[in-house]
Amino acid sequence: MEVNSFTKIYRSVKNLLEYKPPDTPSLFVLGEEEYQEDQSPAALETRSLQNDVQELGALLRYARRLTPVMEKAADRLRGGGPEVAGINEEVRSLQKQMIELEPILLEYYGNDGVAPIRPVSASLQENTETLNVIYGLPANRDIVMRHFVVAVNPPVKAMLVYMDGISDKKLINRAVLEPLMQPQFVQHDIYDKDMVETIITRYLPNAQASPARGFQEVQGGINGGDSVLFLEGAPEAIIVETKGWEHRSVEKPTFEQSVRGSQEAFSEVLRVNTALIRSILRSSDLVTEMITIGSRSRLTCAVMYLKSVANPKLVEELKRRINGISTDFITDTAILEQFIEDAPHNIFPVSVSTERPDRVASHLVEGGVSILLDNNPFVHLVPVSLFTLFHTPEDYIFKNPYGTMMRIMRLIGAMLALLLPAMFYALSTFHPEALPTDLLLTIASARELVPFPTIGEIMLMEVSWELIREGGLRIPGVLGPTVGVVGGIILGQAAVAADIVSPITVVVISVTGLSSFAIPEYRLAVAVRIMRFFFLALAVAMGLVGVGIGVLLISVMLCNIKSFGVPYLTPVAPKTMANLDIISRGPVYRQENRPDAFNPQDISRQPHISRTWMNKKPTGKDDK
Amino acid sequence: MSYQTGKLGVAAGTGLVFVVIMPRLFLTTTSTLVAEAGQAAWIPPILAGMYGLLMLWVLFYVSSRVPGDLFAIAKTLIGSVGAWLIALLFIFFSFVNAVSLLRQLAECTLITAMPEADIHVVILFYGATVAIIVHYGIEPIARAAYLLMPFIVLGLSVSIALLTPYFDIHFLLPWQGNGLPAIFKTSLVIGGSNFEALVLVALAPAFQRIRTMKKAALFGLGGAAVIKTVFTVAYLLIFDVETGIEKTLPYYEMARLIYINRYVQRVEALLIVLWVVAGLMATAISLYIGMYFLTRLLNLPTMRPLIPAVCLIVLQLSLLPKSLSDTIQFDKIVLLTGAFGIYVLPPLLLAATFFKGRRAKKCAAE
Repeated sequence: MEVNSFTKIYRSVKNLLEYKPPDTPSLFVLGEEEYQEDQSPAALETRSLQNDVQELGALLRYARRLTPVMEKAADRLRGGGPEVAGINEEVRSLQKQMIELEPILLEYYGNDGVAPIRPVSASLQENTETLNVIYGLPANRDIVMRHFVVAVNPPVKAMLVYMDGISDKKLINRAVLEPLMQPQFVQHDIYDKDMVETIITRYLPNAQASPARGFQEVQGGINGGDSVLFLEGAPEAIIVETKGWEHRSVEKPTFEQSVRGSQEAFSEVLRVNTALIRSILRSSDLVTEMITIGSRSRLTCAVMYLKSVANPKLVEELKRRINGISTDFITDTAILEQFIEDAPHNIFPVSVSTERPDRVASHLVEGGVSILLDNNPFVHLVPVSLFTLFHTPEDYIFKNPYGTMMRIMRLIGAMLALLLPAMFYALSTFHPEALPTDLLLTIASARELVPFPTIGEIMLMEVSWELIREGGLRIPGVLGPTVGVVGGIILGQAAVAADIVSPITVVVISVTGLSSFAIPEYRLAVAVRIMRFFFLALAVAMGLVGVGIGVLLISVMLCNIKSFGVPYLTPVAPKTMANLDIISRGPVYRQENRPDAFNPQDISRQPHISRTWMNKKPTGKDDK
Repeated sequence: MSYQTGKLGVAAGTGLVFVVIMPRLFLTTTSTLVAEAGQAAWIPPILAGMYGLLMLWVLFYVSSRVPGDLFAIAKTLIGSVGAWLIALLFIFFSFVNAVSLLRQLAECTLITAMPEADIHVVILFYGATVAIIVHYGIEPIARAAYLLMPFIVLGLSVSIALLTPYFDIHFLLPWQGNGLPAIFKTSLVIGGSNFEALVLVALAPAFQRIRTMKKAALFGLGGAAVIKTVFTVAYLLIFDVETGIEKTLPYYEMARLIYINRYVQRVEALLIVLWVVAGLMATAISLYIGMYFLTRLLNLPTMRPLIPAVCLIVLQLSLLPKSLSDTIQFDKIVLLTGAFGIYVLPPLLLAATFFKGRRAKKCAAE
């Protein structure tokens, strides 16, 4: 069709103005498919039944195909019937269908959605197929399946399965394969009794070996670094302990260094960590209970306590909470804590996170409970009070006046880290009359050339400080602290030289930042950093009145917090029996009782007179 | 029920009573005392404390005979209507007390710390703070009160100690002041500020036993009375009666005088924190008591939804007085209401206890 010139002009203008997206392939977005379906209980039940009918129908159809093939095979064995080649073809086809139906069968056996709990089969082939489905073999290259023959008479086909990288191959060779494949055992007869029992008791020179009847246990073993031995004809597998992955050795503490005392820190291996605690606390009362957490990655969590000291209600409650976690994966003790604490939105930590075994031992002796998680070098101690977070192992190692002095210094540090910028702002802006005249003049003259209000200066320095701190953490290796220090000095000096901030503000923020490092518990220091901004905001709004309001609110808030049933400010609020180990650290021989707030089964640590030698005559006195 | 009070011990009870009674000391009461009783203004606080303790002991006796909180006791002894009236008295006093304290605090803040601020903003700020505190419940409030108590005592003690150079013993003479009738009358009136000490019996089930409450009353009310007396003596020793009457904010005026050297001077700004904290805490406790009785009265399952509404009403009511002098006049009415409550309620319940006991004995004999 002919178009007139007006239309032509219109189209060309339209083409010129109209946006046309470039003809490129759309980006890959891993989004959720929008799927609307009826979620009513009746609809769900109907759908579930329909699925069941379909699955069972598929199995029935398979069985109907299998029956004539088996009949043909039977006829052939009797001497008649079709050719073997034809039967073989049909069997291969059935095998393919069987593989397709394997998930349905596994579900039928009781699949929980993630880990099949099918029983171990007596057929090695069947077990191989099941493992193929569970671990996605052969695509998954982490799983090693070693087929071999046990050197007995008659020989037994066997299969050893383990996870490459987390199992010790030397141990597997020495403690599993070598004994079972050595020809000197040929004369032994393992068919007299239970095959699995015989192999465990007589042929496996390994510290831990146990039978497994189901694939859930098998998976637990393989995923945990153990090797699993399957034997042809045995409806059980054998889990042999061959754990052996690369890990850090026991090193010095990184965050809780001390001049004196123990220099050991936890590592990533749970059993090493429990052993470190046991090596310090050598008591048969020390109980380690294991709880598995996570549906996809089943990590082991250990709960340790002294059976005759810890309050059983506390232990029960803790175990109840840990057992009540329904999640797929927990990577860290701190994440675990968020799952089990009363108020996860509370920014103050309600447990002590430590990397020192000696600190854990001290806490357990006081009636507390420790929580350890596999692959985690930090152990959490509960319950705690706020004052416990200011304690360090050095307080006990040195004599009590030093311990008390250091604790007071840490508390002063915490108060400065919390209040100093807010107080500085409130006093310099709202109540300058409270400052000595000379100091006031110094501040005023220093601020004369600064073009920002005081809050602008403070925020500039605070943000810079936080950036330096965060940057220092992220910069790799030894550069981090260097950049932090250099950045701080250069930034501070340059800012003062450029008249962006006054020297007094730099001093205030530097003292505040340094004070926050005096808080031994890192998470508490973070909480104080956050609260500092809250106080600053209040000071900006209402000066010292705002600071007072902040103090009031934080006091009530802290009084409201409980650490696993124990008030956070105990023994001050509520007032309970103190044991000379709160802020002031009394002499060790006078710390007669355990913390009252823990309600331990045995409150007494030592008798009133613990230095019994004081009541006896000194050596050699009789001679005089 | 979410308004259940938790567990309170001697320390928490002491803090609760002490903090709820103390704030008026920082506000305008001392000037009023001096105006009423002259040089003997230090006697009424101690007498009012003694009356308060006596009345509390009467209630403890009643509480030992009839279990439950004050509302339950009143219901058992004088029936539902009587219990309702008592609850209404508590609600009225608690709310008007909160209104008065909030307004006085706001006025004092404007005078001392933030002369350019708008009173609406200050009251809104205080109201929000009080609402947050009440939201946490009485257990953390009582514990925080106990935590703050030493700082209040220390702050007062230090300021009085720093003012010793200004003391003039002659200002206390003649020691009878405006005469004994004036002293007794004033002590009865200012005893109304002790009405909130009945919180111990109002929340009786929260305490372990009667002995706990007795100790809390003795330390809390007794301690507050002693401190008020010491403070009034110091006030009289610094300002004579004539000057003392004129001061609107006695504590602030005293703190302003502090001058040890050029480094320790004009510390009144630092001490603002002290009375703001004490005042807001007392307001929160007062509101909690009012809402507790409201919840009991209406048999509500929880208190928390009431908090914003009540706080908003109290906040608006506190803006009604036109000036600070109006607020002071309003506070006198509040104190009279409190005095009525503290001097009438315990004897009434005691009489009802005896009457009930006698009737029970008579019934048993028949």
